[in-house]
Amino acid sequence: MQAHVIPGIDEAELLDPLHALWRRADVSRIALSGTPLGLQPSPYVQAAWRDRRVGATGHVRVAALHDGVRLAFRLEWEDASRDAVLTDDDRFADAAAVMLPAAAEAPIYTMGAPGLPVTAWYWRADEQQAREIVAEGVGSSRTVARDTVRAAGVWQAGRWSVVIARSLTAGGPGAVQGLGTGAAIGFGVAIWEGGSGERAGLKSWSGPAWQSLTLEPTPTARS
Amino acid sequence: MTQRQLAMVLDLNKCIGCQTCTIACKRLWTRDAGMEHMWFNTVNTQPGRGTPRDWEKMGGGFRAGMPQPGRLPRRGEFGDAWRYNHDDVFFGGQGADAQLRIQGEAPDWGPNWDEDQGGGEYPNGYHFYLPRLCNHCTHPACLAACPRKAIVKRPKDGIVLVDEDRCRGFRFCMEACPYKKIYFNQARKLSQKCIFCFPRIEQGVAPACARQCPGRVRFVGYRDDRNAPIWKLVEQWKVALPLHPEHGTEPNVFYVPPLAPYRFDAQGDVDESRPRIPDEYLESLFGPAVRDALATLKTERARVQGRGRSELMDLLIGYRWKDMFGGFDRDPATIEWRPA
Amino acid sequence: MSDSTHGLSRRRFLAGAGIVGAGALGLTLYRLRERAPGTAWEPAQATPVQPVQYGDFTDLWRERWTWDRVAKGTHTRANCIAACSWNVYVKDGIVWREEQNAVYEPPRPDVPDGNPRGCQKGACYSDLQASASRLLYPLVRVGERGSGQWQRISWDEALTRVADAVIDTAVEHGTESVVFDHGTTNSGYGPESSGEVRFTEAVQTTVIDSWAGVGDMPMGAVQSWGMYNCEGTSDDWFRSDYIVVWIGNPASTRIPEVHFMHEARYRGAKLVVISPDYNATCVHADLWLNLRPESDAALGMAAAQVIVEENLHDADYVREQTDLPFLVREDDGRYLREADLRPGGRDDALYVWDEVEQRLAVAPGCQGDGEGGRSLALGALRPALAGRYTVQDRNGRPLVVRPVFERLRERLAAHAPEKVAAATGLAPALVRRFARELAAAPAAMIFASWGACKHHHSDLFQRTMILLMALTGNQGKPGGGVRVAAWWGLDGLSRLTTHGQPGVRDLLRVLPKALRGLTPRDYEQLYTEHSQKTPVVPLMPFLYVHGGYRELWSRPDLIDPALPRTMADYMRESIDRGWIEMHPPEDRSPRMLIFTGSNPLRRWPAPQHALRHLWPKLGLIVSVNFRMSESTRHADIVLPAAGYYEKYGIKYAQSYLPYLVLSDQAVKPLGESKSEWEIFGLLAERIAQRARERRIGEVRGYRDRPLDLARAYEVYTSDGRYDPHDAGDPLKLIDDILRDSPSVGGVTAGQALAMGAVPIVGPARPGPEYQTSSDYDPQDTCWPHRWFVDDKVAWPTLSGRQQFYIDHPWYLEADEALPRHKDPPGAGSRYPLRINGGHTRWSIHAIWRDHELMLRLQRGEPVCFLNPADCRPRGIDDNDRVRIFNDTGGFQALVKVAVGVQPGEVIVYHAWEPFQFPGGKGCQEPVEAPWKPLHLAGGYAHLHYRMYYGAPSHSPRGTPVEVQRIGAHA
Repeated sequence: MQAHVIPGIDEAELLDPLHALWRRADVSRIALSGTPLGLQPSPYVQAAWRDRRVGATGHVRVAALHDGVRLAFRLEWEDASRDAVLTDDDRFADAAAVMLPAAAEAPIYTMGAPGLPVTAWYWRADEQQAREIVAEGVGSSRTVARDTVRAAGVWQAGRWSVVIARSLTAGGPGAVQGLGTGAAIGFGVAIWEGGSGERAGLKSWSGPAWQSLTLEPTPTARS
Repeated sequence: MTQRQLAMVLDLNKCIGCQTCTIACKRLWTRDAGMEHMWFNTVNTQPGRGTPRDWEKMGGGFRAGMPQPGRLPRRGEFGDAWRYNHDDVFFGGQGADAQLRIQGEAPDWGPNWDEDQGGGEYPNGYHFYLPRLCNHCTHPACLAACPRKAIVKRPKDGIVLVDEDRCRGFRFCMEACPYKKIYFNQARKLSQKCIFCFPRIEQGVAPACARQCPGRVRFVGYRDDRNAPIWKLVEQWKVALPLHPEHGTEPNVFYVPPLAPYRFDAQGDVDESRPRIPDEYLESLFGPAVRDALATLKTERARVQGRGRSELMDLLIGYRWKDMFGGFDRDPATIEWRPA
Repeated sequence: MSDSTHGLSRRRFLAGAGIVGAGALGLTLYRLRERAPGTAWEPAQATPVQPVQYGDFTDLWRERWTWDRVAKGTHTRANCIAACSWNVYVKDGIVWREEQNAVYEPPRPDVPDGNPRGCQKGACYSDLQASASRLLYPLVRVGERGSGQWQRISWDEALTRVADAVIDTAVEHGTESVVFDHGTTNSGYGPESSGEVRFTEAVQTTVIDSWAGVGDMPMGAVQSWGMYNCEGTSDDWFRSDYIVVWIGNPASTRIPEVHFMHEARYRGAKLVVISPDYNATCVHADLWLNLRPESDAALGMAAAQVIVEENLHDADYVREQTDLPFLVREDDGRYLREADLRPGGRDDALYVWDEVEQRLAVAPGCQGDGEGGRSLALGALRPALAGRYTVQDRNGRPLVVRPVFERLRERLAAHAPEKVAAATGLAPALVRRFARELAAAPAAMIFASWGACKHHHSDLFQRTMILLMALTGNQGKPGGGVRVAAWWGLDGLSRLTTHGQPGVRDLLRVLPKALRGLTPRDYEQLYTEHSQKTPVVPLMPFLYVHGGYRELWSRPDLIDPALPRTMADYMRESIDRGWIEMHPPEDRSPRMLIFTGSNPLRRWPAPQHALRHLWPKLGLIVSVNFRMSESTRHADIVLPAAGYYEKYGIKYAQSYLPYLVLSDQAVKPLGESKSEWEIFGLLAERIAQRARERRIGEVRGYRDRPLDLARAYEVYTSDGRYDPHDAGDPLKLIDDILRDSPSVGGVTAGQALAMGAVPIVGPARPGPEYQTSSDYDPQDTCWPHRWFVDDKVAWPTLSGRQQFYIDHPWYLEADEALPRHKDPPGAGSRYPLRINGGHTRWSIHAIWRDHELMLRLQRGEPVCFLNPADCRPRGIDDNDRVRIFNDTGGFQALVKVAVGVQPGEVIVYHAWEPFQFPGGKGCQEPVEAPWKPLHLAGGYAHLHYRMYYGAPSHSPRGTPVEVQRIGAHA
């Protein structure tokens, strides 16, 4: 998939999932499946979900845009229930994340590995501020920043549309490896359907292999 | 470092359901935003549905070493933090039309909802009071359940803590705990629970629920300390038993089971043929070992009624309050945080 | 530490107290002991914090548990029968939380120590302190009374309004028309109560005596012993072998003490609870006697019958300590008196039949025994307990007399277990088991505190309890006897009043008696004389005359059918004979009400009567309080009092704990609230000032004697000794109190406040309330009545004994000369259920009743408990809303279905504020609380009224009602 470049995007427009500018993006329909129970690090989770279906979301439509400064993903998926407020202690929020490598050869399958981190840009419907997360293996994720990732979500008539964006150039432990080189980088998408109790490793994901993303070169770079 | 374990023994023959322990803990640890509904320590009337309501049917724990699925209690099952309209009643100018009431929807449960209701039938009904806190289990189901390893058990004293730097509020711990002693903080999106007052422990002070109990119900100490009451009551005399041992988590909070007055026979005289609290009921709580524990209590009581001495009875009397706390007998009021 | 704190010789003791001479002689009853050396007098040393590894999430928890400083505090005027010292932790200038100051040492090695004390209420006062119910500013009502429309005013304006109203009332009607209600024992031993005492003395207001008015007067003890208090230290319960809790629920109401009962079980004791319902105390009992409500006298008499019939009683004790050998005339049922035998003979000389000399003998210790009635020691006398004797009266005619014990046997026979089985609902075998176990126990006690005072015939219940303890020789034993409550004396308490040390002056006045040592009767005489010099009026008669309750209490269904005369008749005779003095006089009216520490519209029976009849008479109603109560809602002016921890005070020293507990000022009063000491001082000052400005001359004071209100402030301050404007003034008063009190061994205010709890080290002069009636030994537990049983001092009764025969004409005509079972007036009511219950564990009366943290540990609003058998026919499910009502009134509550409730009972635990109910109709609305006109009787030695003693009790229990389902709780 390619992320077209639109120089000088106004951030407010970029972060509006319903803005017309997103019609200029290529959209990929990515099939999702539930994360395998065998990958869950907790025997409790494996036991409790043995007879339950993991992965309530079957597919997601993904688009990406950048302006040379920020990279934004737009995710759209079907969800009959809007779970944006934890109305009780047994409620979970809808959430989505885009995973990107923070080191070359970082495996997506295990959410990174020791010394080979992945980064995730994580939005939750019940949180004002999205997060930048780094993980080096299943169960090791930690929030490394709360002011680098911007996100906004709109739920309408059984459908979420969410934009998640981050600076292309900012460093830190979540800096994406391989961005801006013109080569393709991997990415993955995960969706948590809060109404089904999905959280942690219980989610729909784009699978054990990286999806591919290239960034359209910025106009100045061409010349 | 080898694992040491702090433990508590609660003598259910002294608990009067005053909830001073509950309040002591609340006024110390659960005052911040998101904690309003939390009671790390609760005391419930048994038989009763407990806190959260029907927790004993919510699953969790282990069977034959395998984790058992459990369900998340809802806020209303714990009992939410009811709010009142004092200002309206006092200054709202509505006179007798203003009534002090819970604001919002009327609740159908609270942390002590069925106080003093009990079981059985008059005049052979029965009840007693059961304080509960996190058991700081040797094999905590919560710790095993967390996919992020956000629950830790301290080697030096066995205290089980939610690591709030790591916790994401996934609440598998709340599902997995068979005692349902973990709460969810909506403001911080964290799971929270009893911390065995570890800041006090570190300063040589007993946990607040134990130290503030006016009934002198609680003993505190290391499980391996053979000179202290805990070891004697649990290992030597075997009158202190864990609650619902069948869950396999090896709790480190133990209970001396309750005796009760004679029941009545059909003619209204004393019926000594069976106890007022059915053995089966106590067995359902504490396991089959409870029958021996009760027998030991009765034997030793009979001994002192016959003017003999009994080490067990002396232990349970707890002549010197300070000695109930296994060395954690420092007076917190003497601590100077900022020396002059 | 100075010598005065280690061991107290008699001479040093008296010199220190400054009352050599008469004072010394007044204390001949006491034996002083050495205080145990090594008792800690210094505050505990500060200890350094232990270093800990920091740097992760655990820091957040550690940081929560820090504070800036600690003060010793307590809840000085909370009306709990306890005293508990707390450490009050202050952080960032506010009280963060509190934790018990557990410093209590045991008196002897074989008794558990008393730590930690404290309860869940005290453990959250820091939350109540600044809650929405807290009053912070002076207020004046701007809407109708009770409308909840208030306007904030300045202190200056408030003081002037109140002062002018007092003056106006005094000028027009006399100061007795200003009525002051300070509640019962909702008072402290220090400045927090001295303020109102001095104020009422300076202004000579009527003072309502609510001791009996809240149902705390054990009239059965008054009738039997001539005293209404009786208790020792609670660790003495540990020494009992048979603890009977009779109409009480210490598991809920004696939270800091009840552990001694449970520990006693582990020592071999049995705990027995006598209660219709399986209350919280039953949970750890060995035996429960589930008698029918209000059949307690029947049970007591039945047990006594078994004991006497099976010869299990202690005849020697009975001979010496009771009036059971006293001779009673067969013809008129009166005691045989010297006046019967010869002209000019005494009316208070009574007789026994001496089996040794086979003749009449004046009973030693009776009031007219010729020796001043000092000692009941029998010497060589052996009074007969049986027999029928003929003597010659003053006219030479034969008089047949028999010992009381003979009459008692007859009465007991009518109460044999089989005969009263229908009344009690108890199997005779159960009653026999109880009686035999009681008699066989080496030490048996009956805990029957104020819960046992609140039924119509509570006096009969108590008389039978006292009878049982006397028959078995338990009264006066460690771990034995009936236990009600008692306080430690504190000699310096006379500083609370404006007239210095009345005790000294009175003692000097009775010098001839004092030379031999004053007896309990002498002290009672002093208290009575003192009471007769103040405009004090007991609550129930006050409500009857002035409160609008005359009609209610004259209803025929509310009076004992065995009484030949009406309530009006008895009231008339009592007032005419001066047994009860009415204040204000009958032909005048209350015109102003000031109350503090009291909540009349919450606690008075059927308070709607007071609202309808009394309130309109009152031109101004002033409430001094720290919280908004129901009564405060219906006031005109509110003066905000400082809360606990915000003022200096001394908690009243109830005898369970041999310590004096004080409260420091941990933080300044919140908002514009002020300590009571300051409030009443400012009021007195403003009254004096306004009296001068308005050129008011003398007004009619107490008994219309001239009173100069311009002197009110001088009187208040003891002629300038005190200065309530000075923030440290209360400390001066506390210093004065403690300096005058050798029983706390010369500690200063500063030391005492730093300690929080100061040990009692020696005895105090007897006072109007304090009846341990035993010498104090700091190395032992304390139990009551040792003066009488060990030292053979005569009891302060007509007979000089524990008196079971009361030949007052009223008692004779009511057939209550001897105790007996009687049905309560409501027995014939068409309303099928009876409200019963006790004090709640969830509050101290109304304080904390509406507190969120407490309510969340209940159902959140008022509840009643019903047995399933009473719910089923009424279609009631758990948590349904019901109406509880009779012809007098009704209220709504939620239902808790409980198997422990006896069918027929509606258990309502007390003290809900009416504003917690729909329409402001609280749980006292249907409570008629019919009281016994017999309690107005006087003129009979120990049957008399004086402040805090012998008044008719508020008897709210057993109200007949019906319960109707309204619907599911919405």
